[in-house]
Amino acid sequence: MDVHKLVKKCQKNNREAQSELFHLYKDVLFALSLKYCKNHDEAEDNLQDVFITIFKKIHQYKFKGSFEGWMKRITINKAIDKYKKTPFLDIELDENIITDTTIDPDIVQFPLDELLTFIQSLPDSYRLVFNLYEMDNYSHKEIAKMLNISEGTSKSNLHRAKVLLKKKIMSSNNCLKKIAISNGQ
Amino acid sequence: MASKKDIGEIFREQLEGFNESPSRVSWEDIETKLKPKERYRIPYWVLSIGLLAIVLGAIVTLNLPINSSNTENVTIIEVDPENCNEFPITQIEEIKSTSKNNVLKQSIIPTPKTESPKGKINATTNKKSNPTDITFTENRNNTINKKTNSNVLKINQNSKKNIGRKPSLDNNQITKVKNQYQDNLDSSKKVGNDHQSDRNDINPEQKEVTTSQFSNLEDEKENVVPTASNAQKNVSDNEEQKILMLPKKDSLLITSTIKPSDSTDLHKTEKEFSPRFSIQAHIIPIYNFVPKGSLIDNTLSANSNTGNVSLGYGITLKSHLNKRFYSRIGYNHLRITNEVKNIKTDTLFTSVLGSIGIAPTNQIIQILNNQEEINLTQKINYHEIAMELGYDIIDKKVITSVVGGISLVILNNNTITASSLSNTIGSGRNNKISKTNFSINLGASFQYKLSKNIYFNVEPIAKYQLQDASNNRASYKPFYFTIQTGFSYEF
Repeated sequence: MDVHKLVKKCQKNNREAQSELFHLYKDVLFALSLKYCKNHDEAEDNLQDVFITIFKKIHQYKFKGSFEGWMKRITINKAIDKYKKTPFLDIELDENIITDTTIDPDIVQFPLDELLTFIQSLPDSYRLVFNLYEMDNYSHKEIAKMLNISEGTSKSNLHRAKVLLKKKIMSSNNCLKKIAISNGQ
Repeated sequence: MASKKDIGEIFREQLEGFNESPSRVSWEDIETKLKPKERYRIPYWVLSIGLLAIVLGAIVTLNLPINSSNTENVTIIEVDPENCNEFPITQIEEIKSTSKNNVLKQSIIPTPKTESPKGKINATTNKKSNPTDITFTENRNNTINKKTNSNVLKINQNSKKNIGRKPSLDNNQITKVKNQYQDNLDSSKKVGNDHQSDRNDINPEQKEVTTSQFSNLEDEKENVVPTASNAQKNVSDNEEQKILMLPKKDSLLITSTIKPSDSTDLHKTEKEFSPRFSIQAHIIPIYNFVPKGSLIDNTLSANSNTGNVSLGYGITLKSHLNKRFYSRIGYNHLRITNEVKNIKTDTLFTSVLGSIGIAPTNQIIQILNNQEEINLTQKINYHEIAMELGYDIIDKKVITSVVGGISLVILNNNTITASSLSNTIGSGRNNKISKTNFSINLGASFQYKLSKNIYFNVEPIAKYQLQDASNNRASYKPFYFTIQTGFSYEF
């Protein structure tokens, strides 16, 4: 069944169609949730909330734009609602203390699960900005509006997120090297 | 060696197309939650407290303690009609008490004939009532009208002999009195038409009847039945008086069903139960008792945890339901403070701050990184709407009462401050703190009377929140002790 018909049936509260839609999109939306949430448990909670919201609001979808995009926006917004907060001290990025956030791609040879863990271990505000900007192509202006922060803070948080990620990768890489050396000995 | 890439780009490339199946979420779970919501059920403890308040309110309202007795003393005054020159007039007074027991007084009061220094009585016909009724209202500083002879009655001095009877009567006497009264009433109805024209002729001047005779008669009444007369004085000022016109030769009957102490008690009790309201403003020192656990993060539940004293303020409106019971509603701004000590710096940055949604700035990181251990102070500000009932145990110079009730607490804001030996830095706010909660309150109130309407109040009250104050697993239900100290004004 094509998505258009499936959505139409879901709008009529057809349980079978809703079930089919759930099974069709649960993996995509769960992967998205995993990037925005801190761990698997919270990602699963988020996914459940997302589908409930989708089925409650599906009559609001007017077939303009991609349906998958519409569902992804709901997923992201749900995750943001969960973690959104206003920082007590809102200090913007000082251009003078920018550190290099580039890295040799060969170093980043980790399983996807581990890469995901690096992202999940970031503080909420860093993680949200990093995902929105780098993974889902939102602009700093849009992010600032979504998270109720200034554009400067968004840039600052993105930069700090990258610095932290680089540190984590480097330290993990060093650990791996040490393990390899110790194994070689 | 490949050229360096931005770390964001590397992550984007590697995670592109990443999919994973959820292990816990199933369609059945979602389907269950999609079913129409059941009607919201009020928690049992809210229901039970509400019921308790209603029952207490009902008891208090229905038991407004107006002293009354089922035994009524009946006083009968008989006047010899043959010695009366004019029409006898029967006056029936009804006193409608606000209490559950009404006191009915029936008496015959002869209309005065001559001028009295006390004043006069204005008589007006009551068109709605029985045609034989004339309503009299007393007006103290008025003029004399001598045209009312037809309605004037003299009581024979000899009547004193007949009318001085003891309040208590046997059944035969009561029956006799009732029969006589009924006869008089019937007779009055018969002659009512005869007197219709007389009544219609009464103009405002004619309706003015001097109270010289009346006062004499009142004197006689006082001599004869002092308690009844006193009672009448107490109650007649603003009471409607109905006077029946009786045939000339009918016997004159004065009955009174007043318990001697009732009249005075009636006024006394009315005074006692006049509604009292007061408004109170206070400051509230609050001490937070901290049990094991943490409002900030699960990892801190093992750390040393102490409560601090903080200050709130509030206002209360109090309404007395009766002499001892009162209800009150108030608004308080409360702040509870809790300090978690000896947190390792790396734990703080790696798990604690992230879990409560705080992103420390570089500045904070630099300052705190030099410290080994850090203390975190969590301050939570609540708006509190308190509904309480109180009962005065001791009503003397210091009014002592017990107070209990329930409060709705709404989160205003919260802050977390990190402090080391040398620095104190505001770190952010904890996004796990619950937005609303309920607390049960129990304590005492001491009121010291400073002047007629002003009191100094000290109210130690313990408050216990019924739900966890934070969403994390190691959270606890806050328990704090407050001392509401302030002044109240009663009106």
